[in-house]
Amino acid sequence: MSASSRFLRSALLSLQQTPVRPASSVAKTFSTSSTRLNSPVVKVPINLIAELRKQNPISLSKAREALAASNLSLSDALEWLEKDLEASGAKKAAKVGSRATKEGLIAVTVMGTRAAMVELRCETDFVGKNEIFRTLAENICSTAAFLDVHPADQQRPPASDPLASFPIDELLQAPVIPLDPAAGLLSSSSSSSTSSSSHQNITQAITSAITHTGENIQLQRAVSFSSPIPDEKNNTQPFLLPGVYVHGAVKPGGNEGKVGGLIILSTISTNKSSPIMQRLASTPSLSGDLQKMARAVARQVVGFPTRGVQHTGGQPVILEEGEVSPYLLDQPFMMYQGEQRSVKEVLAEWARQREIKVDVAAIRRWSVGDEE
Amino acid sequence: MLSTRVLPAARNAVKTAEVLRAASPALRASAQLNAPAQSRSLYTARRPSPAAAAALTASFGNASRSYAAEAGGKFSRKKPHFNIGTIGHVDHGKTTLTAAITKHLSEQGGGKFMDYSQIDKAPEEKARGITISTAAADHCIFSTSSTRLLLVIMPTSINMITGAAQLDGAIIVVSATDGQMPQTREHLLLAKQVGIKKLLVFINKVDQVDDPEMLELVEMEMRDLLSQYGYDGEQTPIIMGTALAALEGRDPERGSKKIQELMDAADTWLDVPARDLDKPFLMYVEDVFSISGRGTVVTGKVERGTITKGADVEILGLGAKIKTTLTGIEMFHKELDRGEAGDNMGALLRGIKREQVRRGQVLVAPGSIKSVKKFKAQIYVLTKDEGGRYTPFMSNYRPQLFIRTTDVTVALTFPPGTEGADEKLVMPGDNVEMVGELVHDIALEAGSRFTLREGGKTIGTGLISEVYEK
Repeated sequence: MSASSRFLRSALLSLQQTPVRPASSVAKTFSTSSTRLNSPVVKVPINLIAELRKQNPISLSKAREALAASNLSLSDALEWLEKDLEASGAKKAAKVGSRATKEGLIAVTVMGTRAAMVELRCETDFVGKNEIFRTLAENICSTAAFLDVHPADQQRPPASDPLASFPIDELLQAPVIPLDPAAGLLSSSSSSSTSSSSHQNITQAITSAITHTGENIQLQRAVSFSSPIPDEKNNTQPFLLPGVYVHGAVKPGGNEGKVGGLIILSTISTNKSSPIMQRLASTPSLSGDLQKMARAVARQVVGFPTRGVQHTGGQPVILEEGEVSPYLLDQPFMMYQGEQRSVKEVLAEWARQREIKVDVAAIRRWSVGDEE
Repeated sequence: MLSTRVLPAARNAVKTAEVLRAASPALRASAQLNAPAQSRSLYTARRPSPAAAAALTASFGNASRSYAAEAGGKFSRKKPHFNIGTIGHVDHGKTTLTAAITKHLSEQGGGKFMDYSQIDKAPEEKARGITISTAAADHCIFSTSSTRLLLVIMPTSINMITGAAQLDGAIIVVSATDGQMPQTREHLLLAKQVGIKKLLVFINKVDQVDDPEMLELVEMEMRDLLSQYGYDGEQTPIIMGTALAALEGRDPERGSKKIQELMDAADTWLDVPARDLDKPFLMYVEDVFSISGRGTVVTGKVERGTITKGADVEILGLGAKIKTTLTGIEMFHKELDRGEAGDNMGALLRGIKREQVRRGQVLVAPGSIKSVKKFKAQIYVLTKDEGGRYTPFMSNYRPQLFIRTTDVTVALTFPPGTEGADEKLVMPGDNVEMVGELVHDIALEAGSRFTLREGGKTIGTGLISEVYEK
């Protein structure tokens, strides 16, 4: 290492330890270094570039451009970058847009009776495991869970499948709704979206991640669910409860991984005098039990290569030795206390004990890179 | 052709327990044996470790012929082989650098030039953002024409754990225009995970940056990051140049000269892996005989190291830890004074009864390895297409662990402190870190490889990262 770089390094280190000095004084210190041929008109001190990159991990050359254009003011440069995202971010997104995305994450979210699952893709496993990308997937998923799919977009007969695909174009236009907005503000400055996530829509958030990682990022698919508002007069209306599970979470205890499952349990009371909503209100343990069961079913769907709830006619399923049925109800319910009996049997018995009837109304099982 | 050969071959590699045994030394051994007269078919047929063998022969082709002729038809055992990978962002120039290195070294008379198309044949390489090149390089006299470079493209990180080729070092490639990127952290994590102890950094595309201070910033940031991830940020060589210039034969100051610098840095900075012969003696016990008038003889294969008649040895594993002396070595019904890695030999042991030694134990240089029950390992679980399980498993799964000549039941759990361990699954295709507890102790150490089997089929393969004594 040359002597000058040692000096700069120590200068940078000391700068990191002290509060950030006003940009002008820093500029004065460094502007004495010789300007070179081809250098930008304004000489940008590298410690400012380093500082800017800590707050917004964009490329070096972009960081320098931002600082040069904002008179070496960090806050102005951050603003400049946000504005620049619109133009150059879109350019970058277009440049990488044709590249194949086969890696990524499946994110799931459940908030009481609302739930969503999205698949976000990128080019490499490395980006897939990166915190910037994971946060993005988490935020898109929570946005999808918060927003209802517009009824007009639900191209299906009502009640046949309560899970609705979220139209991607619509989701891309939606404002980012983080699960816990406070978390974003408190997290370290290395997190990319701190300053801007609250004002961004999802397209902008994706573009921002593309500029940071230099990889193509695509929102592949999304599905969301919201339990219908209970009808007081209709005693036979089932109670719908979502359950989610994700396998291979990239962050310990997180909800973004390689395989995700979203399932809906439909419950009615077999006790005629007491409809399900009333039962849930009077016996708090029932709702907890149902949530646990929904989780177990979601784990089952994820753990086994599940294609559907049950086999509906057509070709009989031919299984190799040791292979488990791709249909949920026929599988041994391993994810419920290591059961050997089928999901169908276990679920029926479990429900009978509680004077309810439980059906699996819908399932989705997504793996990263699935061919649709 | 290269990629198509490597991939299926690598999968097959994990299917049999025997292969695992041969796996780690196979790459070096196969390169050492790469004499020109051997045809490819003979070669691959004889070596069960296909990834290394197939790829080496495939890529080597005629180049090896000419080299070997120069060297008098014998691949010298004196020259250590070195496996180097390149890691970096998709656009930062891994492939260009690899091509530039092969070009540079071929001009020095050591190896065969490969252009982009040959290197980037593996279709997954671009997607994964990783090129792992295996360099078999003369480590001692880098500057002379005897420098050689072999390339084996291993496109997935999984193969780096389960596959035959172990990386001895890696070059992190960073573009000067972008600097390190958020995912550079993940690159370093992977390098750590596969056990790479030392790295080199190549800052590429320096001709696109006009301000030398910017280059210093790239360097500083890299040094900080290296230190953060447990590498030696102060000492790690960082070379700045342009791989494209080197490849196109222009601007030698920033081109070929820098490639040479990078090679010199590899030569001096990276640690030469110990050769099998230089490692402490270890032989696995396959059979035990009692020969009247002479004593107890154990037979088996020497995995590593050398041994001479009269040396002290230790019998280790399955509850035993017995010190004794090796009083005789026999091979092919002949008495010998010395045995070495690769030999199938019989060892006469002083004062040992036949009942004291069993298959599954090992004969080792005293104190060189411990016999333990508990360990931590990186495990790859085979998919059903690879012949593995159909279903997931959970904590406390108990398959059979096969290593060397033995198999022991092992209970697998998640490392302590794993969040949500009670409902965590392990699915076919997963790469997972787990803690194993064996019912009997066996000789294990960090770097030992094993397979997991259940009901007659191989379900996974693992690499031990840590052993725990009680």
